[in-house]
Amino acid sequence: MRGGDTGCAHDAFGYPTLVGYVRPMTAAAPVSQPLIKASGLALSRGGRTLARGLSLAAGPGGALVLTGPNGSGKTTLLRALAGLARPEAGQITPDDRGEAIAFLGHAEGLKPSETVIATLQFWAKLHRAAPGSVEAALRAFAIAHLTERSCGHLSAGQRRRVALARVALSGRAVWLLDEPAAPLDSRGRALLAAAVARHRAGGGVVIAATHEALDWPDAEVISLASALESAA
Amino acid sequence: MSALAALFARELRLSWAGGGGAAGPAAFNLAALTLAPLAIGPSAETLAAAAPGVIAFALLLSALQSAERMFGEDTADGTLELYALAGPGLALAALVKMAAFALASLWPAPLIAFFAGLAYGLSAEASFALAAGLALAAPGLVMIAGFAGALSAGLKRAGLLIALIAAPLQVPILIFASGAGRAAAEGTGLAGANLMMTAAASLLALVLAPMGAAAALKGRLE
Amino acid sequence: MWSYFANPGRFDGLARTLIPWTAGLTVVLFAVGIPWALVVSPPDYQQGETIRIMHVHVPAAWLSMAAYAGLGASSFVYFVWRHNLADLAARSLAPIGAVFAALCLLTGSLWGRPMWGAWWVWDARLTSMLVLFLLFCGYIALRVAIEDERLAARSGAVLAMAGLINLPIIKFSVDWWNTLHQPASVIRFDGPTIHASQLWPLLVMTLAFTVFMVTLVLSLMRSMILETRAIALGRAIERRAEAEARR
Repeated sequence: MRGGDTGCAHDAFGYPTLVGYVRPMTAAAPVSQPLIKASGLALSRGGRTLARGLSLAAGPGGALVLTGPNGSGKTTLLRALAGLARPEAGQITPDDRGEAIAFLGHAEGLKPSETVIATLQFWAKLHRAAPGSVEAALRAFAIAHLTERSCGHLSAGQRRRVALARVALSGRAVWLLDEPAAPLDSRGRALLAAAVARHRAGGGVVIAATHEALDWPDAEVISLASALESAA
Repeated sequence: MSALAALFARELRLSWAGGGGAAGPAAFNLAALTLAPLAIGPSAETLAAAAPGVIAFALLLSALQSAERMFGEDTADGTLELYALAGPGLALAALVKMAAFALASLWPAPLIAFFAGLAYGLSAEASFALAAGLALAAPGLVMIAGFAGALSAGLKRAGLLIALIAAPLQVPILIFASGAGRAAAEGTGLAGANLMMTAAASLLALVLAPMGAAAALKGRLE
Repeated sequence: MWSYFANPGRFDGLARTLIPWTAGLTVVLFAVGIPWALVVSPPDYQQGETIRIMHVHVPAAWLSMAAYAGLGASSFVYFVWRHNLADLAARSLAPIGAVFAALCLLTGSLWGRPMWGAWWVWDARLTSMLVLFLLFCGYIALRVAIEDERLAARSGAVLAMAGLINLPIIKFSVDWWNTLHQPASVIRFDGPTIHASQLWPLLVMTLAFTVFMVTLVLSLMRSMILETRAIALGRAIERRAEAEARR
């Protein structure tokens, strides 16, 4: 099938299969194969080229941190990886990755009239998550006391935690997070780092766009600023 | 299937709790039906002749009235992106969403139509034919309004645009549904044929509009 | 062959050579058709001189329908293959089709006054044309409302395809509505029996309007290509300035 992928020299994959593989992954891939891979990407927004010749790959346990100044195309790249935006050129594989992706954008997709628990239970049902995953996600982001609160009455940081809990309970292998830590306090960031570590230990992939430092061990940093320079 | 059922349940709950459910469209429908005779005049004959058209038209307006909300909010709050990645695909998600919306917001419409028909001086038989026509028409009208809503989601003055886009596409359903009431009132024996045509046009909208809405929404995400 | 001309530069060259010819042909055809239709051809035994309105009304009706068919077809091509040229064709056809539909409605109303004794009659053909006019208006309004060029093109394509699928159903439903609930009009526009003395000038006028429309579409598409080029040039200059500023 995608035999050509195995020869790619990136340090983000080639991690050994990991212990504590709790949840079944939607897209189970062989160890040596990246869960998501992009090559020769060119991105544009509103008819403007943002980056050209961008390549990346992440295998089980891998983490990529996309950095760069405002307007450098971090969000556009994440959306392209999710399959929400179409790159100008280049390829992203696998084609059927949509089913393996959990996405967190700028907008959290929370409904003001819906309670936290109803929101998470809905997403759990939609993703056919294992029983108990809602409770686990509530614990992971320390929001168990908010369950009966409606999403319209949450602070920005609390909203982000609920959205992250939604990502965590999806059981999907590839997490694409846009500025996941921006509105979080120090406790929230620690919880996020722990959840990311757990997901990676379970064989998942995390790709985050951020303009601030995230202390995730062994995460490969990809700077989009240089790609922007080369496009200009 | 269970994913779609979960989606349907959520959308039903959301348009019930957050959007006020059927109260808004029903109140709008009643207000229009109260004002129309005041504009037309009290002549019983004129009113009865105008009844099927006026009642069908009031339903069409109330279906358009809340179409802006259907995809506008999802586009703004990021829900659309999540639905696009959720698994069933955007077309099915759009179908389920619009169906839930139609049920939650327009379920009283046939009842209102029946009693309005009686109040306007139609026979019980004609009122029933009209109500049946509108019950068949409502899903199709909502689907077309939703398609227009998907095309204009997030735009300024989306409400106006929706009305302009949806109006020509809703012509067949409006004709057949009001035709059922008129045929029954005039005793031409064509009420059944009109009902069949209403159902056919509504079904076609049920199939095509979600695909169109998905194509429009996908373009919006890119 | 299509992919050969799908290149905007090549199309621009082709259009530049074609436009003088089609424009010239338009002038010649109108020079023959207008006097023939308005002066030379005999008045109708039933409708009298008003029959002459038909020589504008009927071509306008046909061409607005042809324009919508073209709009739907080029929208389909754009939606599937994303040829920008197809979108340019759609974008140029819409206002032209709308104007022809409006012309058809206006002449229909003028003709209706002496014939039916009313400026407007809910005749099936005229009503269908009115709905077609609304379809054009919706398409244009949607494109104007969306700022992002690519999104406007895509949304417009989806709407035009939906309209094209619906058009026969709308036509059928309007005919159904009209024949079942109103007596058929006594005098119709283009009945099956049209005398040869009327048919020939009508054909010439139709041909003239068709070539006229082709000329308009080609010129509009050309001006849009030039506009796109100018915008791209402006962007390149802007980008260079940005790069300089960063240095």
